[in-house]
Amino acid sequence: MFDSPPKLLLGLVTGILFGVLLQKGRVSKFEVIVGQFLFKDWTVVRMMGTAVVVGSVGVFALVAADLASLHIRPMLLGGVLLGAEVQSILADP
Amino acid sequence: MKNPLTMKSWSPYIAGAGIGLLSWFAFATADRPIGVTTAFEYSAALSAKAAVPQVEQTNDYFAKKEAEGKPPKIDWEWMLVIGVFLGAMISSSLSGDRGVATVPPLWRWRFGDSAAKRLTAAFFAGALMMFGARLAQGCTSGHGISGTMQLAVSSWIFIIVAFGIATLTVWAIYGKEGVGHV
Repeated sequence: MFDSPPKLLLGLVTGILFGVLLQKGRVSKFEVIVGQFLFKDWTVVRMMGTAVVVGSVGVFALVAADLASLHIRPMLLGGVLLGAEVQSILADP
Repeated sequence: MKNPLTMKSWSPYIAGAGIGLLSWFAFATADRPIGVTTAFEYSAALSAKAAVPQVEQTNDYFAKKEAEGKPPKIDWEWMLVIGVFLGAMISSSLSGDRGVATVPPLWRWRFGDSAAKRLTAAFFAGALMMFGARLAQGCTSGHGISGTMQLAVSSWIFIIVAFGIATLTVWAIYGKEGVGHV
């Protein structure tokens, strides 16, 4: 029913930092999200791209050092394609 | 130097690098990728079980998750979601970036100034997004950031399709004229 208290606390701390970064990065805002898809505001692509590049280096280093493992979602073609589509429709409000 | 927390925004490259570093932290300390929507699935499953205990026998979701070794529970990710609310609240309070319009200008231009209309649309769109995220087993965080950085095929397909369809949707709704109203 529950993870261990230290793990819960770790999740909370990670979440607070994630929330601050998302808010400072402005990706919680309607006009930024819609602006991206109208190709007027590239904040979302810049932020996600940087996160992926920086994150990738560390995550693969940790995996190589046996300190973490990859957690890859299954390639369920129908689910991923339909899911991506459904998530995108009316993604803006 | 100005306190970064009182600034309304950071460069997207700084915020993005921060999320990248935070991913190292999540993998190193909890061996978990940052994701959000699984916590909503677990909440729904736990609520159903609390309301109707026999659902655990009648719905094979529970047996399947048990077999996967991932029974729904209040876990690291669940607390992460609570943290995101708190972190965003702290960040916006410290910078005074709190005045979010219920009806943003672009929406008003397209759909008028009814708050009820926008809130209703946002509610159903949110439910649709959650449905899609669970079909794909990931959202913009779980697939879009955490999955792509692990170079997962499923995540790259997800984010490309999601961005593509979102672009078509937004252009269908707001069109060329909308660009002038963002």
